Amino acid sequence: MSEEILRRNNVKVSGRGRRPVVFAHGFGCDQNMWRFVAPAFEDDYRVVLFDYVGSGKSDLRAYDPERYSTLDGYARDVLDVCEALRLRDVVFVGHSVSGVVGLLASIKEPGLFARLVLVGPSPCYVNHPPDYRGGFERADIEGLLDLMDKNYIGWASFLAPVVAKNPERPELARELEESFCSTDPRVARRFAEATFLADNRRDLPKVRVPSLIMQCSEDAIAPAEVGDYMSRHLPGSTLRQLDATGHCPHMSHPEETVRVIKEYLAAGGLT
Amino acid sequence: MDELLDTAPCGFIAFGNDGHILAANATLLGWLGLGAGGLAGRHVESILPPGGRIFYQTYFFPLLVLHGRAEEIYLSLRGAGGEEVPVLANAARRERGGSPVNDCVFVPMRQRRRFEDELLSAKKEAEEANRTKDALIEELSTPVITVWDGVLLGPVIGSLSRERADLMTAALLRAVVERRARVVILDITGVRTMDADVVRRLTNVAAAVRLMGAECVLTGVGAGVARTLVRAGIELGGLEVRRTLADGLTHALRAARAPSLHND
Repeated sequence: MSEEILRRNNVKVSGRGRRPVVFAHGFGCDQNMWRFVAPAFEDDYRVVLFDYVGSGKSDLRAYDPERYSTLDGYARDVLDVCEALRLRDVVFVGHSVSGVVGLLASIKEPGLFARLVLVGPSPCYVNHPPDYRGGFERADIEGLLDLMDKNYIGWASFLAPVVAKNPERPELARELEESFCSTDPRVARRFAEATFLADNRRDLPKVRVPSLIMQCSEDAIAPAEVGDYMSRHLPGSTLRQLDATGHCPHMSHPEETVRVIKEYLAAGGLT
Repeated sequence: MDELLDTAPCGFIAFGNDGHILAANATLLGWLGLGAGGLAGRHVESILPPGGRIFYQTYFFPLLVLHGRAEEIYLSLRGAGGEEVPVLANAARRERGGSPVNDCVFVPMRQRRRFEDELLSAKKEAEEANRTKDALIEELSTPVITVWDGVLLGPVIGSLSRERADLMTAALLRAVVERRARVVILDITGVRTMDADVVRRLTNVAAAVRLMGAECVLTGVGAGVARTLVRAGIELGGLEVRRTLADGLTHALRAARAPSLHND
């Protein structure tokens, strides 16, 4: 069973430390997103990377449309991976939607986690006037879903049959092997709906694990007021403003991202 | 900027790692209704609608950083007056002056988008029609016919996959309860290929029926099937077998008329 989970979620373990740090990718790409950050933790931690089912090089056959139509299904993936590796006192680092996924996983199994590090998180992307501004209208999310439908990025399920039908063209197989951020458009669309139409504001007060909110500058997806909202409603949270701009500091500003995470863990004595 | 690039029939921007636009050509500025220098220092996101900004941050930018390029990406640009320009974008990342710069060209695709919209909606309709057809086939593939009071007939035609055997078991059990059946005839005259797996599935169906308190009769067992059973060493222990459907019906009617053990 645990072997099956490790294969299903394309789990990669490295590092020389004992305390596990689990890096969870956000909506869009896969564990590759942590390429500039994860190696910096290998000296002192046990580094765990994985792909959610439906993303990256996970096992698409395990994709269950119902399970992955809500973020709870993704939280189940996190718990499955931790259980398969028998992890304890986990430091969970989640980018974007994985911030909320980590919160949901910690509500289910608070004893499993030592700290949660949330990189650019948002409990709700859609505006709910007059009290809450997530940054997007529902029509904006429809616009995103329209883009998802029209962009077949390294679409594995599209490429795979083409590869199978053309054995004399090995370059097609290579293209499939090297495809980055490859996503089946149906899977991506459902992930986008689960992510950007979710409202997890009511879950914030249920969290018992201490957390770090890493708030980027000029982040259109998780703006500063969303970070403020989270820090007000998430018990035991620390808000850190980053110099990094945009929504992907782990890719655009990896040094600052590594430094801030390490400082937070050191302050908690979790080295 | 190079004059050729400035007026080339494609839009062009260069932007830094933080998304700030370093250069934009006149063609693009014209599409967006902006004057010279209209994008200087602005963020890439400022020419995208909100949904496009999410797409930029979650797909476009990661592809550039991790893969060094992004190709054939469909985007919609937003001009100064709010008008949208559907484009296909290609972008590549390279080092200039010690820091990464992302070069990006846009080609408008108004006509093609209309065509793709139609393709997409046709695809969705086809998928919907397929789902309806599958549901219909599923229904037709597991018919349960009442041939006499208390006697049901389940004809098996074609091939008997595991999924179909499961569906059939469910349909038969439901019918046994709802129609108070005492005998179920499983007719396999129309089964295309018979192997050990199929036989096992059939005996499982029969066992489930018996557990519901009804007798199960297997009919349509020809010479080929008999040979398969013998060769595979399979016994149909406890299962009534009749060669033809007619024989099975005669047996079933007699059994159904016999005094009932149930108190109904």
